[in-house]
Amino acid sequence: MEFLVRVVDKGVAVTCSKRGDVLSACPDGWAWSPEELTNDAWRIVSVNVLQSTVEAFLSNAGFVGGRRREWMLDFSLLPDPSLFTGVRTLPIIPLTRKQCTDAAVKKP
Amino acid sequence: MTTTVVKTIGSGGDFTTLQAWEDASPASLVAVDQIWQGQIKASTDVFTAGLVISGTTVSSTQYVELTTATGASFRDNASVQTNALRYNASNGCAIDFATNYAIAIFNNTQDFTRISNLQVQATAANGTALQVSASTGVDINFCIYEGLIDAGPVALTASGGAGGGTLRNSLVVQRKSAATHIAALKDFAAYNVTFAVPSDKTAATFGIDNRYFNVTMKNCAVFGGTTVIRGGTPTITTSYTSMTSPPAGWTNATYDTTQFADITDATRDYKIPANTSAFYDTGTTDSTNAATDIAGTSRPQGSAYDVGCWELVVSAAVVLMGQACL
Repeated sequence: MEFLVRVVDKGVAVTCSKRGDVLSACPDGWAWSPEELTNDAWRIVSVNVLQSTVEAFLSNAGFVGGRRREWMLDFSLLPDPSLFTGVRTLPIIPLTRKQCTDAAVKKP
Repeated sequence: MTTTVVKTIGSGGDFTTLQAWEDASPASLVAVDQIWQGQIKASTDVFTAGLVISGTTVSSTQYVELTTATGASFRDNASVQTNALRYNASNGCAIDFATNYAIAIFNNTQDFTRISNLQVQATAANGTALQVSASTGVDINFCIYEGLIDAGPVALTASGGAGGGTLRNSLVVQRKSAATHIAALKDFAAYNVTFAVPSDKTAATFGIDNRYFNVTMKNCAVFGGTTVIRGGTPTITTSYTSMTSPPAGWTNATYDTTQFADITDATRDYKIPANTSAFYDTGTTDSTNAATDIAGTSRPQGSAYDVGCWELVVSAAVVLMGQACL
């Protein structure tokens, strides 16, 4: 599975997408557009996770306080957090399932 | 001067997912003086993930709009006049959403969003096709929404009081048996919308849930709700329902194939079949909200607007040998 994730807050409003939010989940080998591959506010990660994990990352159930996602990726818990700041250096960042699940954080 | 920034969505488009398109918009469309318009690129594009629209600063002239590119919508299908009027991804681009306890398109506290030309179905037991929450000035036009959720395939709630948003020239089908209602419209207006539960499903308890709020409905058809509307302060004009002895403003009509081409779930087709339908030429003129029907036919075709989302095109008489033959 490949995730399109946001690495900078879009705005201050709680309803804006936030750093760590998974925007989209697509099958491996997805033909991402040039805009999706180059936008510095986003990264694409490749990871083999269970469907239940995908659904958790995309869950909009409840919209507690108006926020978009219940779960996020905490990039500071990944082996190389620098890949998730500033300019993109890799078109797709590979993660292991364990790395992904260890970095999955449910928002308070 | 406001600039409309058009981005294509789908395979080979500027964005391959709906959410990427939405997320890529400037944080403030007011600051950049833009309309952020997404056009689904191809008739074969079918999206299975949901879309959240929220968090962008907008105004009545600088807003987010989701629509289709030329040729991509079910409305552009060459056989639109004869295709069964229901969700069918073979007829055009679609959102086919199967996630439980989730929403296919969720416009959350963002005003002035416009959505048109889409067909959306939510097939999970508790999935919603469209939800608009606490938003003002939202305009939903030329769409098909179908779902299986007790709370209705569409749930529209405005924040600005009467006139907060409009749903028009659209079809809403509740495919769940014995649902609470077909749609929730709260401080929303509906113009030439067909709301229905297929006849082989148990009727919904209510057609429209309007508790504690206002709703304006004109030229609407609500079929398959035991009670046509629930509570609130409705303003109803030339609208029809299958409810016997309905409240003021509503007219009863039998729910059968005189009114709609096919009312059975598997083969449902909510076009008006012929000029014998109760809906034919019985609507009220509203060129602001309903000048064109869901298939792109201009209204009126007869002496007056038809009721519901479909405007019947009656074949012109052909004169042969001095005789008029219909």
